Amino acid sequence: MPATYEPIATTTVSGSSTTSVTFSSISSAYTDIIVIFNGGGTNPSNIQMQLNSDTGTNYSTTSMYGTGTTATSARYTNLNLMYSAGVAAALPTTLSAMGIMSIMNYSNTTTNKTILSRYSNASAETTTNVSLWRNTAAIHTIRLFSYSQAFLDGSTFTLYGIKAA
Amino acid sequence: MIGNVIAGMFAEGVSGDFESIATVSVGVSGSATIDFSSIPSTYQHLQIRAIGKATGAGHEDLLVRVGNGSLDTGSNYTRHALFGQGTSAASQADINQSYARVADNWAPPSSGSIYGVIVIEILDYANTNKFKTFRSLNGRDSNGSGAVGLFGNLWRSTSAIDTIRLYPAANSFAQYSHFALYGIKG
Repeated sequence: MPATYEPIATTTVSGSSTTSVTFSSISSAYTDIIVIFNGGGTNPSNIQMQLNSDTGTNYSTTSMYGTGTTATSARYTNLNLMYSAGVAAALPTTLSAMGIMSIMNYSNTTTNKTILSRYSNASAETTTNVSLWRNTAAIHTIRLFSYSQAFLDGSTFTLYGIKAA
Repeated sequence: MIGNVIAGMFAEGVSGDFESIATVSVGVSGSATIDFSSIPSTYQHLQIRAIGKATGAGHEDLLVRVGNGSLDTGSNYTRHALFGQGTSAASQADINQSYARVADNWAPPSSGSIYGVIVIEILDYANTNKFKTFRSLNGRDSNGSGAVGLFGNLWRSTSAIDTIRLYPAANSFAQYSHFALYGIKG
């Protein structure tokens, strides 16, 4: 049986000046795609995402997170980015945060695109987000960044594709 | 410095430990239920990945029934839920339900292009010594409303699951709703 869950691309941050990671020319051959992040940041915020180089205010996020003392929820509307991993605290300064971002039915051209994500930074927060990109275009490019701050040397981003029957 | 990876550059297949079993795409006339039947027992776990929208005017809960040979409509389902609706996090529980509620207010109304999304995992589904637990990560964002949730459901039966039905609490699934069932090998 052919592989259903395939690695498409991966990048490992080298040095201290990588401020974004972009996956481009993504094949439309899958049903869902998943980005898995493991790493940290030098002085960043959480991880944000933009799709297909869209910098318009077409993104929104609903988040639920716990910080060790309380569990709460927040909503962000009409953003020019989505909060794809974490909302409450900055990335750790060690390679200890992880995020799994599922981009569902990314290649159809009839629905707005919704992303489910889970994120853990054991020293600060655990979070699950749902984010919307108000666009029906097929997704071919994913940009991940942390405002203009740098990811830690050794942080990894891996893009997977999941095929359906 | 910008890290930029051309997708496919490092593509390689992995072994078939995560396999597609069946997929349903809802057509123009909609569908009241999504059924997966005759599910083989050759996997360790099942995963359902879906997007959905309802044909009605409101948001619909997403419900599930399972069974062996036929769907269990008895009061044998229990749920605990943790969810955030944009301002606060809350928890709910249901007992002795005739269905598993795997997401609240999940399927948006028929107008618009926004779909709810969900990943459901049914653990040890073919084991005949355990009650069956399934968990879901679900969400819907509509730029000003929506929710994200972590739900756990229990089916109080030791029967192996070979049949799954998903359905909205009312109305039908709308066109372009999409449900994919996967098997995960142990």
